[in-house]
Amino acid sequence: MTTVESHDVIVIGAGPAGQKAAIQAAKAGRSVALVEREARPGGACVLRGTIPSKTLHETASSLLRVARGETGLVRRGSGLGLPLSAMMARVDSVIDAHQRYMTDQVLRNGIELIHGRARFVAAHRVEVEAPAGGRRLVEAPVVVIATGSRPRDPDDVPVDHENIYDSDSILSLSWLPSSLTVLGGGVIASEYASIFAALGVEVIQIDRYPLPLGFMARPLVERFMAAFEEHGGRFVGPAEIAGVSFDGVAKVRTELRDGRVFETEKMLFALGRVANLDGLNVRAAGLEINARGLLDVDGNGQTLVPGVYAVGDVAGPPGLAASAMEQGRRAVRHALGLPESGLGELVPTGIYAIPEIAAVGLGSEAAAKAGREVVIGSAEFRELARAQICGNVGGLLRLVVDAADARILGVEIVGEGATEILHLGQAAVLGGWEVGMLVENVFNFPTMAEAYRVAALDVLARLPSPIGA
Amino acid sequence: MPPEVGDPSLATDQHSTIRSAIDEGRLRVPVLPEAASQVLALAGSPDCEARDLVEVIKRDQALMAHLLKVANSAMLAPEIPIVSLQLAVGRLGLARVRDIALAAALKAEVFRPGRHAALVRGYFRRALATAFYSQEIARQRRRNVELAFLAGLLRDVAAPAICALVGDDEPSDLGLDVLVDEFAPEASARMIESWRLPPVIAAVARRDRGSEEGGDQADLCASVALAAALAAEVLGAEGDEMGLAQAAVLNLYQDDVELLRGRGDHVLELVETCA
Ligand SMILES: Cc1cc2nc3c(=O)[nH]c(=O)nc-3n(C[C@H](O)[C@H](O)[C@H](O)COP(=O)(O)OP(=O)(O)OC[C@H]3O[C@@H](n4cnc5c(N)ncnc54)[C@H](O)[C@@H]3O)c2cc1C
Repeated sequence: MTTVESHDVIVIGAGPAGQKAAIQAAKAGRSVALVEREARPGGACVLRGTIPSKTLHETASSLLRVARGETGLVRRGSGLGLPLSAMMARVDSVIDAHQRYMTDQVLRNGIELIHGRARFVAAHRVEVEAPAGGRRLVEAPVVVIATGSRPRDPDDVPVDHENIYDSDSILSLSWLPSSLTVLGGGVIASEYASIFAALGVEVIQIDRYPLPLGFMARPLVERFMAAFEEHGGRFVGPAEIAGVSFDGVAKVRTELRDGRVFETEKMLFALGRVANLDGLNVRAAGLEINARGLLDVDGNGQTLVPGVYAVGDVAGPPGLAASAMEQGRRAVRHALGLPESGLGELVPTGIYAIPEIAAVGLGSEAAAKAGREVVIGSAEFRELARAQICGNVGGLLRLVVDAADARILGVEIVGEGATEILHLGQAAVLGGWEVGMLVENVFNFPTMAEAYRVAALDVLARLPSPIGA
Repeated sequence: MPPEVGDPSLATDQHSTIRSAIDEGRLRVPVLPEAASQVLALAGSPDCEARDLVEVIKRDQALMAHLLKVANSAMLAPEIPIVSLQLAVGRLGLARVRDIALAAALKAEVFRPGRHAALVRGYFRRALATAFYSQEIARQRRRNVELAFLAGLLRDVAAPAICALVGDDEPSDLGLDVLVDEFAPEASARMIESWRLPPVIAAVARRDRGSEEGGDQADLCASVALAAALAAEVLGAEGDEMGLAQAAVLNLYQDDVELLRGRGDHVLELVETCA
């Protein structure tokens, strides 16, 4: 008879959501089993997503910076002819260091890391199969499902990982292709489209909407588009795909319903991801997979089955590592009856395209939709000495401020470094700062943070008196 | 009397012959025919175009004839006979034509049956099956498919050269196989280096996983070792437990390996087509 190992909490999946869930439970003094099918923790975030794509983003940005510095102009084609591996030379060591750090953190907290693939046999009991074939049973009153997601394998696009790639295989390319079609207009599609364009690849991005990144404020998307086009990229939308095929020789052919045809050397299919739920046998836990292929959860990540939680990509949007971590932490705090601070609700959005786009708090468009009276102040990067020095002049920062009490409600930024610069704005939103704080305080000079002062001055000039006086 | 397997004096003799041939650089490194080396060069080039490949192949009549034979073979079964190289590229795809051309070029020059012909033919089939299985594994694991093919194909590329050092009346096939197992890694790596192919291909031949655990080199080594084990299975050769154990190194689960085994018939068909 197989013995059953008991724990207080089982976490399935050691991506960002699962790790944070496990660490939260361990910090609360509970015994935790963290089950991961890969050899090391990290999840899609480390192995196939965030870290590899950000490494390439960094290389492309650096090449662009050098090119701009040399000539003052954007020079195309800076990466062509280089093997992709050379552009990602650091990625293995970055992944290795990150995984080492995470494994240490997990073990330091006394978490039992089980290498194997989990499968429910009952709501609170899980069978784990090791790669070599052994099986063990683990049970706990609290089970957190954090199995993440993977690229969708479409029926109508023949993804072969040789000519037509998905976001997992695209970085296995040996060389930069001369041309690339990117299908999709979401975060992953736009990041890769803009990175490859900046490296000199002729990129055609195709989507069914008129603009990519439709959930971001329009002015930011327009700046993104301007840079993308300056780098030789082309966005085609709204467009309906009629068919995709490899011509058998050297070109991937995309036909649109309106008769247009595009041919490029390679294609990246980046239209959607699916939750990793197959093989998990969630039915045995009393769970159903919903019509979108996800698990239904409440605000704390709890499923319909008491004590069983689902967090991160497996529970649906926004599909960001940062929110996945927060969901993991929150679910465990709820399961263990620990108080919630509410601070983690303000999760920023960061898109590592070229240029970067970032936002936090109330967006300008959401404010307008909600009928909230706000004042928006802008700072053009070209007005900043630091941006001039770096040749980073195409960016824009917008502050969304409450017209009634001048408090900062949200920040939106597009431009190089946006994902970092955002955090001062996040602190301002969290701290309920009045916009005047940004003007009265002295910042280092020259810095990109100065954009906040410039935008704040713009807000003050627009605010109705006497607040703006 | 023919020598017996495991005859210690004979084994020692052969051993030192091969050792010194490798150490002194006397191993016959086949000079690849121009077409083959150009196909190899194109295989590692960012801008290999159909035009270039067709030009290269056209210059080598034997290669071209072989390619057309493969393109018209039962497995690929074209409805209309393929009579030109352009049609073959159009029909099979640039990558496939490049693989076939490479295999054909190797067959003609490197795996040319001389001494121990049956054994050498077997090594060629093993190389092909390992290459095609490496591709399958790479595809399943979202790794580079072309590099995997090349690494699989060339892993034991020195096997025929080693056989050529051993007289016809010398050890049995089994004894020779043992010698090849021992010396092929080093000798193949040197050969690949002399052809100036990507260093990772030589590292795979040398079974050198590099210092970085889980790095690209270690990964490709383990993938090709697993491919060789699956290739042995599909060709009905002796089981290779060590090779199969690489599945765990690659974090492949039992059903992943079964999925790969399920591709065995496809791999075998490709081997028959190219061999
Ligand atoms: C190309 C790309 C770029 C991205 N860039 C960013 C970015 O810049 N910023 C950002 O915030 N987010 C980014 N993301 C999104 C981010 O990676 C995901 O939102 C995040 O990884 C989700 O975390 P998770 O823990 O829910 O799932 P995952 O990271 O997918 O982890 C799930 C883990 O569960 C394991 N698992 C699955 N099934 C089982 C099982 N049955 N048994 C045991 N283990 C199992 C998996 O092996 C995996 O390790 C990017 C994603 C991609 C693909």
